[in-house]
Amino acid sequence: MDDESETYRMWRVRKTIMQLCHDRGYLVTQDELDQTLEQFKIQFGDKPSERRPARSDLIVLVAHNDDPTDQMFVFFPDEPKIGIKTIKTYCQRMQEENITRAIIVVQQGMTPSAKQSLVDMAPKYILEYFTESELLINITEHELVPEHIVLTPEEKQELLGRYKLKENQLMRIQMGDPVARYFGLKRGQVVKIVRPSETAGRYISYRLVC
Amino acid sequence: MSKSGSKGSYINISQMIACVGQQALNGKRVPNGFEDRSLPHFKRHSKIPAAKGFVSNSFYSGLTPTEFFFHTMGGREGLVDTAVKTAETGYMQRRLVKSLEDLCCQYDSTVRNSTGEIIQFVYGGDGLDPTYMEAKDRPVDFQRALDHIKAASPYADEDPLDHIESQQAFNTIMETEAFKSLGVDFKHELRIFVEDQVKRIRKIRERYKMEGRPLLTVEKQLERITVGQLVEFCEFSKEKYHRAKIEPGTAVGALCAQSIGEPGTQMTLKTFHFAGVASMNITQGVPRIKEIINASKAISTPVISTQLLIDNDPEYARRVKGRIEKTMLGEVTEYFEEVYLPDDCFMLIKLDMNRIRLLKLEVDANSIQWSLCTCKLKIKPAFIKVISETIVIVKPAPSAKSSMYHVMQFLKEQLPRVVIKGLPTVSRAVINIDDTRKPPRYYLLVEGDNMREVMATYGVRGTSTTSNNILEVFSTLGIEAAKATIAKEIQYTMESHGMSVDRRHVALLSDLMSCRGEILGITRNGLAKMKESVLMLASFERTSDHLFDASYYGQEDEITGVSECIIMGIPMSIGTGAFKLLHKTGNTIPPKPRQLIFDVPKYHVPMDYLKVDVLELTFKTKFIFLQMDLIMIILGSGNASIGNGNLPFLELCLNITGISELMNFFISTSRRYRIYAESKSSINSSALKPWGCFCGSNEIE
Repeated sequence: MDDESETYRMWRVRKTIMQLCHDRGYLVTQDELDQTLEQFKIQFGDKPSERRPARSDLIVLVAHNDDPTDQMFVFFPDEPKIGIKTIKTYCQRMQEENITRAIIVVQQGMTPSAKQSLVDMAPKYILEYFTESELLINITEHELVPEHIVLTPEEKQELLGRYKLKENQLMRIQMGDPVARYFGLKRGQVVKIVRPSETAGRYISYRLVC
Repeated sequence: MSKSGSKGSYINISQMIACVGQQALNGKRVPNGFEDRSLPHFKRHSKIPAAKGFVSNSFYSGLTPTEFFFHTMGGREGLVDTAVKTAETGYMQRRLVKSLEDLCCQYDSTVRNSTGEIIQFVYGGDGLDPTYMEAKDRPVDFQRALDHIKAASPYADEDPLDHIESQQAFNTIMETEAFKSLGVDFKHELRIFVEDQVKRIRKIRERYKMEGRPLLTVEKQLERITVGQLVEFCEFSKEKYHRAKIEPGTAVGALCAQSIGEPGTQMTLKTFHFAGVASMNITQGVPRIKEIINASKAISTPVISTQLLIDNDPEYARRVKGRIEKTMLGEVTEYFEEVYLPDDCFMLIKLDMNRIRLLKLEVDANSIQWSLCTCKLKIKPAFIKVISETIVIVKPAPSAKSSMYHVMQFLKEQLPRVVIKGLPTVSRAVINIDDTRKPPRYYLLVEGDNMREVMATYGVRGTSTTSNNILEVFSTLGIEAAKATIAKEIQYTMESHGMSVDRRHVALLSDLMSCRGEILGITRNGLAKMKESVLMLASFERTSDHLFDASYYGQEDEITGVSECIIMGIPMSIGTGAFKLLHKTGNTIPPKPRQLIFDVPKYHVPMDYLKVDVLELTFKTKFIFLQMDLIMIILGSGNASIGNGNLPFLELCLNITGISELMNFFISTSRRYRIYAESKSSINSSALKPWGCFCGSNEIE
């Protein structure tokens, strides 16, 4: 792996992470969202092989728009495949800073026990993980992926009332769906999907996360 | 005849006057049926056209015996295809109908299945009925409607409108109450059409400088449209739009199933078809439709098409292609050499730099060293040495299992197959030129899977990379993208066979396949996940399995769907059957259950007699359920009862004293049966083996 393509990868991944945080309602500055490759190189360096930047330098901490105490970490571990040990150190850091949400961006993968540990911590500490190859492209910008908007509980109730629906009569989207993972959707939430129709108009549909 | 189109085509004529051409079997030339040759008339390993099924004679000049034989081989494939096609499409249509039969338009404009689950919020996105479509999937063919109005109602006494007047008149019409209620889509289309007409009027007026002077009689006829005609045209279009609105209660599902199934029967079952570009074969016709509808995991020709970041530079395209296409070490070396020296031995790899440069590959000796270390041969870095820019040597690692010589031979075998660049899942990437645009645009077609990695490749425009593998799209881009891909692929396959299916039908099918959040095929497995009704599933496939499971788990059936209602003889909830009569009785006390004959103690066989015999059975099976007789014996804590049974069986059963007798009895009835026993049953498989039975977790067959 040469430095050029490695830097490109890191820039793309970080950029997608920034957009992801923004789309989830966390506060991200416009400069961060628009960061070009050159700006990235100036800020972090362009020699990943000499740890300038190392993956761990890219770490992000963002606060939510509505509630500044609701913060989220984004960790970038240095090891290609991470184990339970790395996750423990991250958890300690979250405990120290009193933060309950985090995203881990792994280069290649995770050991099965590490994956299990994420599930075990679920209600108290919410940790999600993505691989770098998933984040090289922001899938919500893909031409086949229509706009997804997460509904508030009130909007969901209004929708169910309007069509006289029970929750399970809606169309569904899986929790493991790439788009659902991008937005960090929880079971029971409803997304509104705005699809451009063949002619001028739009077609709106809804899916329940299950 | 061929000119008029009544019979015959160009290919028929050219086969008569020029040559019959290459005979193909399974999309390939005639295969070798004899040892290394197609027929004994040719030399072994012969690859000349005549030996591989090329018929150079015409039907007029006459075929040679071998040519004739090859021609019959090709002809037979066509015959077999037609026979297979009928069965295949018939089954496909049955499955489509079964899965879509209960979808119906509701009064709140949604499309729901019989249990009230939503499939679409608005039918087809615009709530229009495909039956009433005039133009391509649109409700009104505006040009035709306007021509009709102009001819039918000349309004001879009215003066033609100029461009400003006509635009104003149209705006006024659109503001009236009747037009405000039209669909947004439709209003937009109408506006675009009228504005186009206005533009034409303006052009003609400008060309002949007709502004501000009285018009000649002839000039009045140029692009003539009067107020009356415009009003009539708008009314006419509105009328057509309202007529095209889908009626609540329409069985849109059944319409969809037939509209997709029927063209399927007409499709020629040509498996392969040149996509017209880059000599890339893609599966077409019935097999492709089958793949899509079954939601097959491994499709026969997965193709990912990608746009490039810089799409006007062929050099750039070649570089990106090099990054994606699988390149093996053997493809870029001049030679491999086994070198044996008195004190050393190694494999010498001489790289072909010209070739690397030609293919625009981004590899050099160092990157090859890196890929050799990371490949599955697990060569340690210490055993690889880069001598110069073009020479790399690999030393055999000493191993306890085999000698140095064998390790060398193993390396010689394996080294050429090490992947040094690209994705291992991609077999081929082709650069394509779209020369309909100026300047020509280059894009890549990638044969193979792993869309995520292709999208992530440097130089590829990831946001417009698409694949024809639906499940691949689902796992990388999510359910909505997969849904769009299903619709696109069905539509594309239909169109390339010259058939047009209304997009609303295709949209409904793709919505149904994706409504559970995952892609479900229209197969028995997918159907079982889509529907709950036991009767419906049992009437489709695997009848007994569904009935057994249902009886074992005590499932209930609401009788709402079409199949269930037909089975029970109840009007189904589609069309006028959608209405239910609700009656409030006020009396909420449920009626007393009627006394059954089994509730009367005196009709029962004395319990003592039963008790003794049952206890003699050495196992504690609770349920025994026979397929044919539907006899259920419940054996357990000291009492036994028989539902729907007959007496001879009862006696037999009670007289046997152990499992072997019971099993022998079953064998002697010589029927296929199935026993469900509870998991705590003490029957073990060894006890049942002599009768060829097995014991799973709770099922014995």
